[in-house]
Amino acid sequence: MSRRCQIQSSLLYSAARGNYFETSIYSTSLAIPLVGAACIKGGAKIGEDAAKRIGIIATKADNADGFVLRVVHVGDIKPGELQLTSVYLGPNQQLTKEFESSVLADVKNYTKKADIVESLKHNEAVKLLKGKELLSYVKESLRRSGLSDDVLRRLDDSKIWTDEKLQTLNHYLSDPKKYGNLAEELNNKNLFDAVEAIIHNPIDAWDIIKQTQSDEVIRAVTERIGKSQFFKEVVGRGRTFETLVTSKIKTINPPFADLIADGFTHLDQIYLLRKGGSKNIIADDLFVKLVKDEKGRPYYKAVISDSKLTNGSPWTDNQWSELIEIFQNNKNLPFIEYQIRSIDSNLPKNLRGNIDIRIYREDVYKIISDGAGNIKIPPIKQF
Amino acid sequence: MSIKEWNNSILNGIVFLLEEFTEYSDSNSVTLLKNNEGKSIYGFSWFISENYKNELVVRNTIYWINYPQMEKIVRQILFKNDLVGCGTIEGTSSSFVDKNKGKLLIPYDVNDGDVVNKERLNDIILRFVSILNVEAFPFFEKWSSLNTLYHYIKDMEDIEELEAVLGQFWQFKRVTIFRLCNDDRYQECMDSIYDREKKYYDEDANDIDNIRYYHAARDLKAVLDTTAPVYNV
Repeated sequence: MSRRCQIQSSLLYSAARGNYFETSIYSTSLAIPLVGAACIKGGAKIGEDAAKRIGIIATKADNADGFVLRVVHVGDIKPGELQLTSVYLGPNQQLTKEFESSVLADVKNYTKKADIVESLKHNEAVKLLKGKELLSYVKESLRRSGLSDDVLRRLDDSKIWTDEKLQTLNHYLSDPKKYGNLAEELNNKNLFDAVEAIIHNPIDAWDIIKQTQSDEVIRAVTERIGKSQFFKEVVGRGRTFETLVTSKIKTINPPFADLIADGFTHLDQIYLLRKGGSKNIIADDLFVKLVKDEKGRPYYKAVISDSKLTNGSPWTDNQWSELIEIFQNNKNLPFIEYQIRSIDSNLPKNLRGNIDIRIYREDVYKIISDGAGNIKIPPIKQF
Repeated sequence: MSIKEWNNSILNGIVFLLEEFTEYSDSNSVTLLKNNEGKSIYGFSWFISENYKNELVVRNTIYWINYPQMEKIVRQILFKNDLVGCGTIEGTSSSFVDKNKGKLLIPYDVNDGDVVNKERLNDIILRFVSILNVEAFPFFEKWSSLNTLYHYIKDMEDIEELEAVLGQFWQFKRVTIFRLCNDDRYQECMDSIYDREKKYYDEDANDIDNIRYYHAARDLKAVLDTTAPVYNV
């Protein structure tokens, strides 16, 4: 499977991304026939709450093969109703009304799902929510929570804060029930850095935080996981699973218990720099042993294991470019050389001093969660 | 409390024993180093991490000796020839590993770490004080100069044994110790290392390890042949 092309069937995934269109694209398994005449009911159930997460939904019509389109709060969607879009409008009533009337007017003449999806892509109200409108809306929300214009200036960088990323930030800000008071967290620069990194790649947030390579950011997030609803929700699961694996991995066989029996030393959270590379990767778990090459020269052989919440969780950019892609692109490459870059205080006595290690192609593993936070056996061998 | 604050609390409890040491801390660890008049560097370190039960765990209490007279020669050559990296602080690696592991030490493994919290802090400080008084300080005294290590390894012939004590580059380290400690076998030992690596290099000058090891042996020989012994003169 391609690293970047993750097919998700969950509605929640789409909602979490704050993306207008993905729900309908990913909902192909729901058995509602999107054919026949469309009957439009507008203006349904737009409440007065601060968080106005609304969606266009389709319900099978009672008397025909057709369907009914409605605008409702996402939380009000009933079983059997197919959510086509979700949009996060916050408390801005004007935007809500514009969105509602514009979207419903645009889609009413379409009878096929593909046409509706296409129409929504070009909808003016959706476009209105992009760019400056959205930026000023998000900024205003944060300003009300006490963030200064100076801090908020970073959102002006449209290369980093694309429309989609602003939507995701808006989504997190608009759901305090789930994510707590995120605005408050953003007052801390390190945590703002962390949120920016997470939004850049939301699927494995803890890996992304670690990849920032910033002690300050990692420490700031670590200290907030137990206290902040946002970081607990978004980062906590990945981190908890990772520490669980580290605690249990020596008992997993094959291959790890055998490695320990064979004299390998188990290390965790080890920074590695590929020889000739410039970007560190972090090995969640690393097994290291001094062995000899054919000339009798000792070298360190290492087996690497990375913990992921699902088999579809992507490799971080660094893991991909510094490990996986190299083996994938060069089928004859037997091993890659890395240097241990963790500071000596975090290493046992015999493995200190920025030693070099070799990771052989057959020694790259991934351990995934069973979905309930438990370790799924056996570990997945990558090559 | 954060990991850094717990580390500071532990440090405050043991600092009275470590007045001549310099502290190097980072986000989760503390390293303490003392330079013994250029002959050796005494080191003590630990770190804290969180386990899956959300407990903070003290791990990896280690004391060690680093011999700058040897390390400056060997490490620089190994680094120059791409065989190891270059550490940021001098003295944080151990020049050798002795067989006798301290009984009070807190192991590296997170499952064997010592949970730190308000109730446990004093016990941990007491454990640290014991580690320092009972194990570390006598160890520093015993191994205070390279000459002690020389006497420990000079009659060792078994490769596995030498590797266990001096590590991956035991041959380079041993020949450097021989030179600095004025052992008669230095020249024979150095020439043998150089000749062997040159032979491999001549056989295949494109092999990356042949290149690294041959150049390292050549550089080491050039330096040591012109280095005067320091001990047993």
